[in-house]
Amino acid sequence: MNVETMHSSLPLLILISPLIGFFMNGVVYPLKLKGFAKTDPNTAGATATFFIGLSFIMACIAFSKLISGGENPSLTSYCFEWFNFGGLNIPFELRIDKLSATLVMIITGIGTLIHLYSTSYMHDEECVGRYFSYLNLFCFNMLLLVMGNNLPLLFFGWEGVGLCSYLLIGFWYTDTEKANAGKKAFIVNRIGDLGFLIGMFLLFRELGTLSLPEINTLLKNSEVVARITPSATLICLSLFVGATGKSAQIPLFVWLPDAMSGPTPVSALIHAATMVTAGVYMIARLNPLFELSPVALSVIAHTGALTALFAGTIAIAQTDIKKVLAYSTVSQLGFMFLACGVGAYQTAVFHLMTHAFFKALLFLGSGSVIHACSGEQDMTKMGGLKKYLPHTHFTMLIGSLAISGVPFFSGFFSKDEILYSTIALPNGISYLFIIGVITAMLTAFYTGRMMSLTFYGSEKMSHDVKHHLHESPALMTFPLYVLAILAAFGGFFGVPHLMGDFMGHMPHFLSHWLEPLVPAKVLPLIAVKLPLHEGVVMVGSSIIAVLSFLAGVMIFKKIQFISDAFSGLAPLQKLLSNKYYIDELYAFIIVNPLKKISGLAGGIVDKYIVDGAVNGLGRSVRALSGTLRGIQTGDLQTYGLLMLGGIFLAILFIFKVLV
Amino acid sequence: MSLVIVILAVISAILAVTMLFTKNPITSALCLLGVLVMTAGIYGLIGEHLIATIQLVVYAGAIMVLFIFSIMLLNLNVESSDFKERPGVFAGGIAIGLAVFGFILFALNEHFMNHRLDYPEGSFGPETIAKLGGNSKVLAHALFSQFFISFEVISLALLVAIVGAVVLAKRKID
Amino acid sequence: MTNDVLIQILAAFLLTIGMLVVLLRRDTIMILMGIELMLNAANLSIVAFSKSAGMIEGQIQVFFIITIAAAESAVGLSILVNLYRNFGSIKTQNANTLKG
Repeated sequence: MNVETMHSSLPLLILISPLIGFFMNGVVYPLKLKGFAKTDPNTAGATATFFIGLSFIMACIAFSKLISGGENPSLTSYCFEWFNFGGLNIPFELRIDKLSATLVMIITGIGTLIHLYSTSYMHDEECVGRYFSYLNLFCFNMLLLVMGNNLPLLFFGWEGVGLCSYLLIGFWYTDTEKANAGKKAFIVNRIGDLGFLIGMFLLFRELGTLSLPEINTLLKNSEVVARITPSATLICLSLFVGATGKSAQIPLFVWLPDAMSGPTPVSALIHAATMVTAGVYMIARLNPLFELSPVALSVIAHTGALTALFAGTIAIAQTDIKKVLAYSTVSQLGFMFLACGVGAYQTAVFHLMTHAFFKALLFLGSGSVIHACSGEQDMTKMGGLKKYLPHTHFTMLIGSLAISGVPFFSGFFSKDEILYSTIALPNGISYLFIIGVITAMLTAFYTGRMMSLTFYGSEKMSHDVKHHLHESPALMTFPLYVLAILAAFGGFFGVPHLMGDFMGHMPHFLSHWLEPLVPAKVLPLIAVKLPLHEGVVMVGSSIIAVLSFLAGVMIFKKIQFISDAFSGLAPLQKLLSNKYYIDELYAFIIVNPLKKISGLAGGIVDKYIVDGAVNGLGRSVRALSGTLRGIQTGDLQTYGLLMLGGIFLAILFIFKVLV
Repeated sequence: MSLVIVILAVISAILAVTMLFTKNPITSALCLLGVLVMTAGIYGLIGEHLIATIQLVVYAGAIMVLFIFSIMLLNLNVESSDFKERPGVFAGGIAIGLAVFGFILFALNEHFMNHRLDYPEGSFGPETIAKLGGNSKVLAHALFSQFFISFEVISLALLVAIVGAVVLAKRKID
Repeated sequence: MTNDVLIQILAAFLLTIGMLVVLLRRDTIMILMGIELMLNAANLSIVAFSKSAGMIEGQIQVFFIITIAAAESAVGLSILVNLYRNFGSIKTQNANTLKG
């Protein structure tokens, strides 16, 4: 394969730019103004937006260079040797190839829009400078994650985005519940990170390198493949544990819904568009490794499918608009892992991209709604907002159609491709396909419900809120419209072959783009295993999507829960709105025993054993020194005698007189 | 071997031993003075006239006066009985002394008999010194040309010592 | 036995005696005198060696040593005065505040 590596400072510049923004907002302004809360919101927002925007412009330049760069071009910045000991040599090296370029474009592009949106959204908050510095720091770490040319660098960014996520979820740290949500996100992610670290260590033990291109080159060698295959399952599963933590999959998804207590633009950027997709990126990046372990792939596919279904059902019963979107995100991430698990890595990246568009749009739209309703997030206290918020309604409708998979919106293409992959690819399993279809139906259904409860139906808000209702300023609606355009037409980057033929041989752009890095499996038009024509899947899923969406909209115009119409479903409703009691289950299984053990450790082990050892050490040192202090007689002449002995020995030693 | 030197050496050895064992500090100081004078005599006899003079002037003249002055000033002229009270220390001291003395004698033996610790001959033999105008002239010439910097530094050190002595000894003025 | 050997033996003896004075006598002033005696013995040895080797560096050295000895005894005696003031005695066994 023709690999053209161009040395360029562009990756470094793209990376550094948000960091400068972070220093401006985090260090320079506070120092200049002598206080953290004193930065003018407009200045802070403009600075942060400027630097991420600069990054976006440079990313565009890098992207254009890649387009004209040949078959498999990449831009590399070697900065310095990060650390080097033993056989481990880790350079601080950044690399933009076609896969990371896609991600960099999404991060910087959507990042810029969300910074712009935040400038208006966060205008009346305290400590806006702090908010924007975190946001810029997040972009820096996320860029490092996707551009890092080796696993430790990727892990650095991985941890960095976790940190920023924690800081931003707990942005309103005076509210204990929100601060705890931040802690929960951080701690749950730690569990995943442990898996990632173990996977990394195992990989180093097996391959002796952590550089991503080297790993992928080594895995083309059949001898190496034969050697590594026995341990590949363990490595892949360890890495996947890391991915479940970061990308909120079963069993580590519990932090993402709680993470919604952060500011809404943060949810849009971090918990929908970028950070949570890091796991998908990592798997796509290491796809030759995952290909070696059918077991691990199967686990990934099942986890993804189950998560998608599970989160989709929970989302139906939620009343908080952001919680609905959060569970929807978990569900869509499940879809991406399902795609990875069946070997359709390209499709996963495709869905990652379209999801970034429409989910960021939905979150920003919900932010606009919340903004308009004076901070109210409960959908049961909204309704009929369509006439008050025309722009928000229009853009969110597009986002909803996209996520539901209504034909010719972006979500349709990617979701359809995933569904078809699950059944048509050799790794695909037919019941996963069924789960996928059900989840797609649920997705359209709860999205319709969300739209209906929020924008249609009767007005249920209080008088005060109604009095203050207003459409958001242009600074907030502009990003909505940009994202709406992307959500509507983003799917045309990946038109399926079947449909492309009808549209004058329109190629699958993304597939061609990613082909050198993420090779596509052959997608036969008529599957080998199940004789379902791609067209059948496509038409069927579009019909299901449209019908479910319409059903969602219609049913919930009058009522708020399914159980309002069918009283028999009340227990199910209760189960779903309590999220299957997962949090309670975790508290019972893990948290409470842990607390008991900690109490035991603190009360007995620490008090008697640890403290005893420490105090005993102190006491024995005292006793020993009490004996040894006799040497210090304080008598001048004893010291003189000892000095004489020393001189005597020194003479013996230096002049070797007696030896 | 000059008989005079032997006599001086024996006297100074006796005086040194007396200095060690006498009870009275004044006697000790006078014994030390005697040793220093005898040493000056030895210097003179082997032809080092300048060193002999300095030994007399600085050691015997200045330093010993300082010692005796301190003894008088602080009224330290009390009998001490260091050895009677501590016979063990006395015996141990003698043993240590013999060991050190024996060690140095061994080293001297190595040097004089076996020539193990050899060093190069210098260029200032007795004839050269006589030709150059005598011991004092040669030394003075070396001191004020080759070792001039050291000479100045030493004078500075003396100054510092004077100031230090004054600072240490003066009473605090409250 | 030549003059050189005799003088070196004398120097060794004086050094030993000076050392014993420093180690055994309990008066601080005796310790200072012992140091002077040891310096004197060293001077004697240096001069004799230098003389027999036909050099003059030894004599110059001794000149400096005598100067330093003078300075040292001046400082030492002023310390002694301070010691007497603080402890009321110049016995070394009384000045043992460093005792552990």
